[in-house]
Amino acid sequence: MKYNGILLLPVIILLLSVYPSYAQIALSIGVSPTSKVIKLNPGESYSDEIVYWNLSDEADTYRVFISGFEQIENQPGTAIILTAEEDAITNYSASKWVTVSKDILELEPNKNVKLQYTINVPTDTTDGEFNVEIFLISENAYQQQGTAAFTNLAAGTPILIQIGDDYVQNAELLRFVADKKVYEKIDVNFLTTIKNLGDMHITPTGEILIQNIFRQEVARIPFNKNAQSLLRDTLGNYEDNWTQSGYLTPSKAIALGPMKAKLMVTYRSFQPGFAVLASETTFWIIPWKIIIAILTVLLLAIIIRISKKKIEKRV
Amino acid sequence: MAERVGFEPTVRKPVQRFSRPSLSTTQSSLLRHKLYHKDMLFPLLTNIFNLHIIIYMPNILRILFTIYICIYPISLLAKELDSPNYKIVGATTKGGGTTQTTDGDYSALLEIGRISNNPRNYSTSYKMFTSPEEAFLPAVPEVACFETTTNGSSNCTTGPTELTTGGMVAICGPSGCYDKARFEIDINDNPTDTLYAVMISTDNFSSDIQYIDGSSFWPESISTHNLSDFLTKTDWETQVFNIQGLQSATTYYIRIFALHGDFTQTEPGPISSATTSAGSVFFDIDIEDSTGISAETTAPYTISFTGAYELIGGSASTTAEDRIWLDGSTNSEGGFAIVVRGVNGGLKSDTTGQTIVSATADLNTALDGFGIQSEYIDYDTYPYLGSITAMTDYSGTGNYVGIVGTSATKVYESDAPVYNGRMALKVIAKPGMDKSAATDYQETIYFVLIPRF
Amino acid sequence: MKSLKTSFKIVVPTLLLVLSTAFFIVFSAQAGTLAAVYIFMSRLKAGLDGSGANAVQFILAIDTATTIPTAGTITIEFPDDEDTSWCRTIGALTVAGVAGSAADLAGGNWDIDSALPTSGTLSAACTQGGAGTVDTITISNVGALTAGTTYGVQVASSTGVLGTNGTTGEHEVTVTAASGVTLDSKSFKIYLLGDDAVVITATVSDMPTVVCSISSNTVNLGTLYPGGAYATGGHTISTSTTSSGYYWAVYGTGDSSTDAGLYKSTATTHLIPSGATATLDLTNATIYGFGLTLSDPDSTDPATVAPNFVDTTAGTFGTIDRLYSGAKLVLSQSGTQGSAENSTVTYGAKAGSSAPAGTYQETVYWICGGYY
Repeated sequence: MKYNGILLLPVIILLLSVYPSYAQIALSIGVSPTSKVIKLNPGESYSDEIVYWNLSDEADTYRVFISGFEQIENQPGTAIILTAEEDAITNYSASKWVTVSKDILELEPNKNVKLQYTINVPTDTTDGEFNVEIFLISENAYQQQGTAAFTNLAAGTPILIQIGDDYVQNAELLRFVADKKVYEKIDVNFLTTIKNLGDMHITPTGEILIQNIFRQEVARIPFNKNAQSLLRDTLGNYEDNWTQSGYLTPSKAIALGPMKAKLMVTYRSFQPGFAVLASETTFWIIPWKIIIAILTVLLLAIIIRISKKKIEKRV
Repeated sequence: MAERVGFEPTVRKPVQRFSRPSLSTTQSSLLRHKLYHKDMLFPLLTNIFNLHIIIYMPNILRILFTIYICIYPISLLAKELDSPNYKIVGATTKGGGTTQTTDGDYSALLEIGRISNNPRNYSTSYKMFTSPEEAFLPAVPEVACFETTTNGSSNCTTGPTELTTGGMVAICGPSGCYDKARFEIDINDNPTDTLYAVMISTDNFSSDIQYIDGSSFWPESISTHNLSDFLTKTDWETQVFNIQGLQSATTYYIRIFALHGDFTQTEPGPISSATTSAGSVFFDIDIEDSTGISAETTAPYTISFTGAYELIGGSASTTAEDRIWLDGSTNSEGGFAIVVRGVNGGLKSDTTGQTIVSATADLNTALDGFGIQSEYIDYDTYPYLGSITAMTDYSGTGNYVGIVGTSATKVYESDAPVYNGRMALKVIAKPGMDKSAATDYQETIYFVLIPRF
Repeated sequence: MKSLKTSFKIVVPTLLLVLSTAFFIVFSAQAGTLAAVYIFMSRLKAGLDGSGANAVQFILAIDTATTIPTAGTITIEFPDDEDTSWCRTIGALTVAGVAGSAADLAGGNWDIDSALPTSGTLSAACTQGGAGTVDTITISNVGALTAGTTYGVQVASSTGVLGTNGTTGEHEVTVTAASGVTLDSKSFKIYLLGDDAVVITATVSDMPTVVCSISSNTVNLGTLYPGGAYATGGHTISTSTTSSGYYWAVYGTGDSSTDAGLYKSTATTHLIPSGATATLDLTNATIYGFGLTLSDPDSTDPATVAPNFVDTTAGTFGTIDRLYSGAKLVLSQSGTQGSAENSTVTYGAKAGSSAPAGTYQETVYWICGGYY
């Protein structure tokens, strides 16, 4: 009996040892609509719904957050909710106007779930644009030990609420440059920074005209073709790209040497032509490898020629 | 007293009763031609007399006269054979004895010294047998029941209990049997080993006369009728449908003979008739939500993925609120098949030119799709009737759907007659992320019910 | 005596001849029923005129009880008071044998075994009934039909046009297979509906959608050896959208006050911070921290990984910050994405030499959205 006890003990200890275990599940969320723009009046009430779904094989639980939002890293068209403190102090948050039907959403696999929301606009609201995001963040019960990174998935629907018809749209073009000064190949990123000074979001649109030294149009590329919007009182960085293989355009214009890019942007929804933002920048396209190769060939040709002449002279 | 020669009570050999000479006896020998003549020697004597004449006539006349005298008695006999009162036994008058065909089916009892069949020999209490086998004749049987379309009750007593309580419709389906029937025999106290044969006709035995075959239970011509078509009451009635191969919507007449030993076939019993069903089929479509088990709706039949059931590209599958409810019942022996076919092979938009293609698939894993799934099946349960099943592709769960393609596919099937079949189909759609927004995605699904008679 | 002899020479053979022929009494052939039959119509709607979208086809499955000799016909006859409604236009029909149909009952008599045999070229026509006659579909030049074999044949409109009667409910049809005096037939019912179609309509919403997935909510980083090599672990993220583009942003938790990073919450607590620099080169012996990289979902544009988070240099990871305001854009794409595309996320972690032993964990929040 004694020996049995000695034998059993290590076995029991072994069985009680805890090994790192990880309960892994996939996370998935689908959202529609991805954003919404609504026009309302003070005192008005508006109800609608957002549809969510889960395409993974396991149920995922999401907590619902309602908060004002801001852009992520000055990237127009993006949204991240504010913390409770930030939301409390911001002037443009409509989070207190919004109620939702549920605080926790259980997304069963392969099922559509609807979240109803209601926006009740206070009667004393000033004109202008307000924002709120209905934001879902997944919650997982982690039962693991060991060094690990856990992930949560979040997605939201930013809602822009325009109150009244009296609003100001105003913007300033702060920067327009090419990302480099000299390019060997034509792969130019144009970086634009616009500041929204108005009280509405704007969706700047326009184009960048590129000319060569002979003032010939070499390319015309759209500005902000994704229609990324810029929130009021916010800075937005836009990036547009010009890529071309070869240095000759279809219209036989040469894209070499000093180039000039002109940006023309409109942003107002009413009479946009009266508020055009414009700027210029220059850059060089120098295919130096090709030039060196050509020069080398030329040089060789010259040297050979001179050598020939010398030989002939001797003869 | 005539000696009973050749009588073997244990060997059951019927004596052939012909209304006309049998096809099978194509042998030309007169000796093989079995006729039992009850009280007429006249044609025989006539022949002997005529032979006398033939001998003394010129050649051509002899030929003609020979032909005439051969045909005359045959036609006379044939006419007399049509009589229900006469049976003729032939042909030899040399003493008594039994002779039979090589197949053993037919025998002839030949006697000498017949007892007169003068009715003055009868009294109310007794009858003097004119031939020995009459002492062993069984009682003439009657038809206890002959049914095809009885409903709610039955005179048949030895069949299934469902028949006794529900009538033939309980074992054949709506409107009864269209190609078979059941009969039972009232044996009138005959011994249990008595055999019976059944004669059947569509014109009350005026010209159409057939017998029921003892193994296939189908009507057969006299040429194939033989001893094996005589069965005991038990053997006849063990078979639930003991008359098969009938035409629909036709009145049939039957009468039964009994046999209890050589030469003991009775007269046919009284005639009984029954009319087969003309066949029955019913089909109906209704549109109602999942609670619409008893719903009855009229055309046009539409199901919409709009409003709260609007489709969202890239989202999870959506099941339409309404179901397609189907009614199906039939008495066809092969049950029915319900088949679907779609015009577009999916939900097609003329505006975008795109189609959410229908295929058999699990829409939980497929990126895009459309189809139907069986949700409900019910029917009246009868042990002798059939059941309804959904085909494999349409029997899925969750978001597994079966195809609605441009070629017809079978969705439901019954394997036998069915009462009050009721089925429901869910319609499930999942547009892929690549499907452009439009309000005119549409598919037309045709439903066809095929009864198999 | 001589006369008698002569007589016998004439009489006996004549007698025998007559008597032998007398026994050849021919019975008329018995007409039987069909063992199995079905008619599979392409449409069950009453009142179809057979033109265009209202075309009607018939598939007939037939199993005779008697073997019907070759060169026979098969007829389908319709009710007498429904003349000209089944055969809408008199004329030839297209006809072809079929070896099976969707209405077959597997394994039984109602399962087509083979296409209808032919004797010559199969032909079919429909004729209209009049006084005393009925609408009839006649298939001619049928080959021998063996009892017990189920044959299939399809007829469709051609010069002759098939339609359906205008009355809903049961209709009795009679199918007959005949050759010479041999025939089998059966009368049975088919059913017509007021409407045989269910129309499904659907609206695909114009609301933009975005679908985002993470393959695993837990990434094992193994054991970190203080001052040793860096450990990695990863998962994938995938995105599809109908909006004008999508983006992913990331923020961490860390110790919930200082920085994101791997945090040992048990005593002695310790944070391996993500770091203050934009990227970490964990191949450098003096550098420790926690970061991540993403792979480019499409080797060409339009999806773009943010410059600090590209995975092109092994051992170099982008750092993350805490809170919503610390969210960093890691991946974006301009333009819709019809089918889900994947990016592989790799976490890199390295503990500093002062990090105490224990379990370190970080919760990373992945935010996904569509451009507005």
